[in-house]
Amino acid sequence: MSFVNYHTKEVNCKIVYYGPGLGGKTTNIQHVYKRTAGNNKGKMVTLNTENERTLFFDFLPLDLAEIRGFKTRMHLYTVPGQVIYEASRKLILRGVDGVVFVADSQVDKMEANLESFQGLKNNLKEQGYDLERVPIVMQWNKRDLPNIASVQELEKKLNEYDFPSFEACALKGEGVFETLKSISKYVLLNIKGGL
Amino acid sequence: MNLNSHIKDFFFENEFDKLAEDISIIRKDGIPVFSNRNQSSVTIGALISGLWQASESLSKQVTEKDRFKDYRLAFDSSDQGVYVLPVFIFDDLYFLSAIYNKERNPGKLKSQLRLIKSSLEIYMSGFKKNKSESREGYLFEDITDEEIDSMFKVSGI
Repeated sequence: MSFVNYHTKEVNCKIVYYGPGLGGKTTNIQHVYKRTAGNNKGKMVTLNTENERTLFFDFLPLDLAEIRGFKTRMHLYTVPGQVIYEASRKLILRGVDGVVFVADSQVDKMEANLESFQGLKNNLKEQGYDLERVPIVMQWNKRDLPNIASVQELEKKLNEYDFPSFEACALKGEGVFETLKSISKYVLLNIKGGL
Repeated sequence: MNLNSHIKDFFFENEFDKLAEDISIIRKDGIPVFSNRNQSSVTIGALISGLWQASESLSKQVTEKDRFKDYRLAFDSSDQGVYVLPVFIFDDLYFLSAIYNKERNPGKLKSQLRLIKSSLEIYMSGFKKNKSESREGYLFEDITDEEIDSMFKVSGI
């Protein structure tokens, strides 16, 4: 749940990158970390296994400029994508303000994408979220690889709710900030508590 | 004055901020509302919140309990470690966390922290929840793409 401090005029929001294993969630926030100016990023935390797969979560706090007088800080988290870490994914989704679903565009990853998206729906529902009210942005990642599904097919199979979607190649940084800017906008527009 | 200011006053006036290298009050979702040092407080908040939630889930493997208000979380050696206590302020869960190093008497420190937890709950019960924290409507009615671009520009993006 976003946190608005009217006294200090600060807004804190939690964005979670969700998706199948090895889909590029960590790569997204690593790119954000690399590209962000020193004073505006905090320490990036990664809780990994020995072979650099996410074990619990990655975390990156990102300070942005003011909007209408409010200082804004986005807390970016990734979930572990591997199937066995379902319990961790549930924990990390607690209090989420917005989700970026990072889908792997490769044809043979479609099943994994579908399974992960179904998991996201179940986990959000379990925590009392209405899927149609949670800001969600879809990212079709790895567009540079051969043997990828068409965007139309990804939209048809994974984007039944017609969420905003972006093509990306997170490894090269393509589409990373477009996705982040989009989810940030929807998250900010969804913050309760009028002035 | 708001919640953050009250908590800050409580710690600074009583010099509780000097008890350990890092003393923080953290919201359930990991956002720090007080820290005795600014550096890394956001990171510590995320880690403490994750740590507590994972520990709760572990405990639920063997107990039906769904409230852990009397629990304590410790990760320590004989002179350094992390100690976390749940604190309830306006019925909301927060964490009091201490990270200490080269501590001669960790037992005494933990005992002091438990007293601080109780004192803080009593101290905060003397205030009313700020009305501004339960406002109606949306904070931003509309945001343009240009405003979003400007927000990110400061980060060099």
